[in-house]
Amino acid sequence: MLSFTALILWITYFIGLFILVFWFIVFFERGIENKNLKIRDYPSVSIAIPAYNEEITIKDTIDSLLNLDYPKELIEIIVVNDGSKDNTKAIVEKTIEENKQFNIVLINQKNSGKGAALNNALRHAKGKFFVVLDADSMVRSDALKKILPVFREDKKIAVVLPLMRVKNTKTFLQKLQWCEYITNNFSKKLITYLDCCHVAPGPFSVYRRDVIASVHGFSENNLTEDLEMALRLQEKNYRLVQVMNTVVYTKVPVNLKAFLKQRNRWYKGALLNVIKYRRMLFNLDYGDFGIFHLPTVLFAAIISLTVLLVSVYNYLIIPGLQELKNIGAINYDLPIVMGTWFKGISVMDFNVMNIFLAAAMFFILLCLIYFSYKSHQEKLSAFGYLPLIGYFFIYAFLILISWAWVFFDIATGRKIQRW
Amino acid sequence: MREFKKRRYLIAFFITLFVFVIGMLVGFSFNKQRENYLSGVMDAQRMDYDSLQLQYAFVDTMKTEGVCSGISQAMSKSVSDLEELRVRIEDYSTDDSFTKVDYETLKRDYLLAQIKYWLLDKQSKRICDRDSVSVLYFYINEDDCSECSTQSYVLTYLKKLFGEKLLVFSMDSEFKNEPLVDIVVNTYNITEYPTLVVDNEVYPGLMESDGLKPVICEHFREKNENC
Repeated sequence: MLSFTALILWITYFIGLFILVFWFIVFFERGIENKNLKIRDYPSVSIAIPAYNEEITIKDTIDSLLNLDYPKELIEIIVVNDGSKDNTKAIVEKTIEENKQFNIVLINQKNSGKGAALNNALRHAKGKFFVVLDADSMVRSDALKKILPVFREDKKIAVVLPLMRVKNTKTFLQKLQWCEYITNNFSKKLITYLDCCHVAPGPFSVYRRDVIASVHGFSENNLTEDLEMALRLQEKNYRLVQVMNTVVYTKVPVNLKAFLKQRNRWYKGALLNVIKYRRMLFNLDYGDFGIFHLPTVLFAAIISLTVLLVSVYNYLIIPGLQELKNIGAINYDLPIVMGTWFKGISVMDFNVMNIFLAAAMFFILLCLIYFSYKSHQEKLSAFGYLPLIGYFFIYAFLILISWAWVFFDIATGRKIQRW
Repeated sequence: MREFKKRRYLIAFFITLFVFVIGMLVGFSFNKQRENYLSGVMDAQRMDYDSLQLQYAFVDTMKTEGVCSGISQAMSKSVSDLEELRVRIEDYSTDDSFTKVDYETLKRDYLLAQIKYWLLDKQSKRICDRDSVSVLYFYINEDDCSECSTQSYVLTYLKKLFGEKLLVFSMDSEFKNEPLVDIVVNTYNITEYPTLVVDNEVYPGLMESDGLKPVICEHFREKNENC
């Protein structure tokens, strides 16, 4: 008889493979479109930079905006200092002083979170388009010229997103994140083909200002206001589009602690916001987004975490405890039995069906990763193959650890972080 | 209402199903290979047994001297190989898979071999005057007997310690397809698991190495260096 654990694992396997195959089909149907639409008119643009203790990066961020290939009189830069305790305010003031020919505004507010900072900027904004730029991200000079023409294609397009690339790649963890951002951009492109994008990340998401104003701006006191905004726009049947022809560079956490903290906020935010918009779940009115993508976002984490916990319990903890009991029963006389541990393993002992299915999944995943890299004109060997191998075999565990932490926090009602 | 193309989902579903079916077929044919492989090992065991039985019969009839030690070593090796085979059969039969092959026949074959070897061991002790201890180990499914796994471990350890001087015969007491199992179980009046029979003395319940080692040592005629 198939055990309960095995049944859970098989179902997960099937669902996992189905999701991969599904996106592979979407890829084969559409390929990776890389249209270069020419800009015809130059609308005014307001760029909001919410900043909290960003003294190290804020100047580079503003400088990257000053270098935008776009008429400077049509750009309004609004820096919202959210009660920073460092020198952010002074640095921004100095930058304004040095660049008087540009329209840069500094708004100082009491520390109230990123959502409140963005709403503050939105109230001051006069541009037809409203751009959000995290204070640790730098944009390429052609960004506006590449992004703004996309809005011409459909009035329902509310947000256009550039490719997000990792700027700092010193540590191994950062290199892993570099790999992740490449595959994420690719999958986001596939997802936007079906209008399923559920997040408009902080680095240089360009919004129609009238649309976000009509939905009453960003949610305040929300862990992930960018994700909440995307879900709200999806609920109103707006479109979010990913482009492949311009890039924004963002800084990623340097060490494991910072990484896990960041992911904790993202995933907790994702979970809570998907629950908040649960009426879209399995709702045919929302097409592929309601039927397929949103449930994937919600259940992927829950199912993978369950599988991980069940596997660890079944294949690690239970046998481990049994082994401890066994060793105790022979008075810990290990040298005698050690020789028998690895003896007699035969090729016949392998579960060939599991290996076959894992290989099939691995192959599809590898193809998708290959096409991700290709769509970014990057070689698989960028930084050597080690980060890629690490991304394949270690990264999923880090993500699962982050999810485990999220569930732990929610179960214990731990305080939420705002930045 | 937004677009929702059922076709794409159906294609994805059937491709996934196809991959699964291929996986199951590959698994099934491999499991058949496993079954053939185990049958092959079993056949070789059967031949080893016939050979040993003949060797003892020959020694008994012809009163040949100086060959007993070699035969005893071969006997011990065969019993150990048989134990390895048991572990394999049980591992494969509990291997979680949709494509499980029926291992009942193999298990039955194995159990009969164990009993034959156990009987041969009793005869051979008389013929060759061997100073060895035989343990008959009664166990049931590990899910219903958490201590059986520990008992197996202890026996493996002691086998490693005493080498050919200790012979262990394992008996799956729940195996109902072979009436001989019931006869052996009833002969020793086995009611709880694990139970060990050391040279006809019954020891019910888990025996850790501290308790079992002196019992085994007691049964050696000459003092064993590991005692």
